[in-house]
Amino acid sequence: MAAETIIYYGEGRRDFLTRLFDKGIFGLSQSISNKDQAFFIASWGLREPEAYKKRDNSGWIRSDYIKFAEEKALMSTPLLATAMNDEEVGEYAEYGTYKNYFEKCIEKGFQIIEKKVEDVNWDNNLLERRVLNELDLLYAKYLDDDI
Amino acid sequence: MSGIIIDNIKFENYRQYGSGTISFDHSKDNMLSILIAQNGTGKTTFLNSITWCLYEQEFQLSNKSKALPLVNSKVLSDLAEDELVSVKVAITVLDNDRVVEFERIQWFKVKVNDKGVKGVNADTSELTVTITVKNDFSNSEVRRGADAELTVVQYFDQDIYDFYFFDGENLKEFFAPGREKDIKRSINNISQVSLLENVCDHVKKLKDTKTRKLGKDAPDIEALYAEKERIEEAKRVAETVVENGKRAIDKSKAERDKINETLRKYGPTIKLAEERESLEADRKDIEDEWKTFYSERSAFIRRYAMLLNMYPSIKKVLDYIEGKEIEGELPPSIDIDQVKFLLDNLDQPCPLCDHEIGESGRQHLERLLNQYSVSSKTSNFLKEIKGPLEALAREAQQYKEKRKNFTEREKDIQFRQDEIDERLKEINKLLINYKEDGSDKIDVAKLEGQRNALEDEIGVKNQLIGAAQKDIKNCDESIERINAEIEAAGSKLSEFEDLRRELKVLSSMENAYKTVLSKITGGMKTEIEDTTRRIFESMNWKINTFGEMLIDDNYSVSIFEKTGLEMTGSLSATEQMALAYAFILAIHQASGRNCPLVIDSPIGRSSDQNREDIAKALMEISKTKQIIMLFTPDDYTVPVQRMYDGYAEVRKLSLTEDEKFVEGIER
Repeated sequence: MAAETIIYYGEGRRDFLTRLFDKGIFGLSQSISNKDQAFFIASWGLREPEAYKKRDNSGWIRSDYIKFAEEKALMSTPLLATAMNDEEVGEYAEYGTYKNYFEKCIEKGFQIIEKKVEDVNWDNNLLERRVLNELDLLYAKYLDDDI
Repeated sequence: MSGIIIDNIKFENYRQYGSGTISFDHSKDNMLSILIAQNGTGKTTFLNSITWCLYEQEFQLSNKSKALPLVNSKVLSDLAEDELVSVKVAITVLDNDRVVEFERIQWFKVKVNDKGVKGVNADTSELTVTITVKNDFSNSEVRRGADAELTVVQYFDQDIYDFYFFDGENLKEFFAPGREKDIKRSINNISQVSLLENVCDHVKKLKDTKTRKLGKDAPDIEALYAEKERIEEAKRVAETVVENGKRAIDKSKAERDKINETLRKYGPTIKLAEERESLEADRKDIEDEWKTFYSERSAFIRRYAMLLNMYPSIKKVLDYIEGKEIEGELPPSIDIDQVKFLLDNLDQPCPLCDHEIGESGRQHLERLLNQYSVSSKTSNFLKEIKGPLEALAREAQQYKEKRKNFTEREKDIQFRQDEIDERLKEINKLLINYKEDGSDKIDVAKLEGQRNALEDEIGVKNQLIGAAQKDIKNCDESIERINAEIEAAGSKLSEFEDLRRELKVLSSMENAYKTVLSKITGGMKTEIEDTTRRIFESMNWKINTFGEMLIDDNYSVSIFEKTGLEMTGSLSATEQMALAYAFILAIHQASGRNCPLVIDSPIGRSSDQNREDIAKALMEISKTKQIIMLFTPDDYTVPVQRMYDGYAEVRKLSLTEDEKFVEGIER
């Protein structure tokens, strides 16, 4: 399968994911689809996307599994939001473009989560409490005004 | 002279004896009478006349004689047809001061057959016994029928006739195998124990019959009582189980109550324990609830982390899309790519209307191209993601409310958990901790354990008691049933009480008779054994060889040499005869009744040298016992003649010339 049609993560992320599963961090487990895992992790890294140094060639998600509109929206929005003009929008709306950006968000998301769990010494309860506080702040920052 | 003596025998028309009398002399110092007669002269008929008179039987009669009428042939020949004639034999016996006359008479009617031969039709014979005290004929007693026959039994019992009237020739067969039973029966008769034996047998039969009846018909009340006792014992065991069980329960209850009393000081421990159990279950539910909560919270965090992190981006893209929509670029109304294609190919007619595009057309296309900056493809993509982005945005807006719900839910769970934990803490403190003042420490848990064990024990004992009480009930029912059976049997048993008493009496009688019988026969046997030996020795027979004589319980006689070897089987005919004499005489003596002996051929026809010893011994015996001997002239040998002639009363019998009558008797 062509590399363009597969979403990859960086080398070592598989083991990290396995550890997250084992520790039940954020309730992540094998029973949660790879797409949902990816959207959650990528959301943390969308502000400072970063390319992985070396990809894990086993791949993570087949692109043809991204077929629902919501999935396309979640995957493309991080990049589309960065477009400065219509031309960039047209460019960023291309799958291959936003897919590459999405992989970078994933890599950064892994890094951020890794730091978070290390900070709480893999205490999920504490981690989630902290995250909830962060979400409270995010909500207050982005949505309270909207409402 | 003492004993029973045949004084005379009277004949009337009896065979060749016709009418006449034979009297026996017993005035001398001996009672030996000898009749000498040729064979066929009436020697055996004499013996038969006695048995006919007494028993209406002629045991020694030959088949030839049996064919002849009892009536004397000469008398019969003189009678006309249908004339009546009587035949009579009368035996006069002296028994100390009594004279007993046995008389049998039988009437005959003369008949002549077709060939002119005379015969007789016999009537039944009749026995008459007349008992007279000597010299007092006025007091004669006449017995007939059964009384007469009973008198015969008293003097000459038919069962033992061959101990009185016998053929000496047969004596050598006296101890022949198979005769023991006859001898024993005879001895029992002669020793007067037959009656006792008969009574004994009768009593035994009666007892057996009644025993069978009792066993068959009488209720087995003993078995009923035994069964009742067995059940009563089982009931006692069950009652003991109940009693012990109740005691054990009382004890356990007392211990339990004591523990409860102790525990009561620490509150309602039972209820507390139950509450603790319930709370612990609730605590477990709370834990499960936490698990669900945490799981849902994690999902909430994952979802809203994504939504809120992306919200600015979502919002920005949505704003962009909405702006384009306001500008009319979305959704796209023209195909920009087609506009670009037309501008690049102005020299060709319009593919839609097939007219030239022209300058005005070119300007219009350029104006459109400047107006629409987003491609149709992008527009379509944006249009596709717009809806989901709006939904995501709306969902993100629900965070606060959902977050609040989670918070409240968490608080609620925590609150309930805290409540439970607090209560559990209190209960555990009550149940496990000690008295407030710290003294008199008790281990509530241990006491509770003990109390539970006691409760279990009480439960087990109650089960045992229940089972035992069921047994008791069953036993009572069984006892009631058996009592009813015993009562029924009791009323029925009264019917058998008489039978039981009779049986008891019969058993006692049987035992007594057996004892008496045993003593009599035992004494009799000993006496017979001693007397036989003495008489046998008196015959001087093999005095140096003869060692010992034994008579067993069946009166089988065994002779042993002095060396100890048995010699019974090797005895000669005369030796056997001597032994038989000794034995018969011993029986006579033992019987206590000194009856006469009538012996045909008393010392046989053998040439044994010792026969004279027998003759001599009999001569000696005749001093105290009447002996009537019947000899043929040949048997009455010279040595015997020398011995008996002048000593005994010797009478010679012969036949008349016409052979119709015996001569030598008183007519």
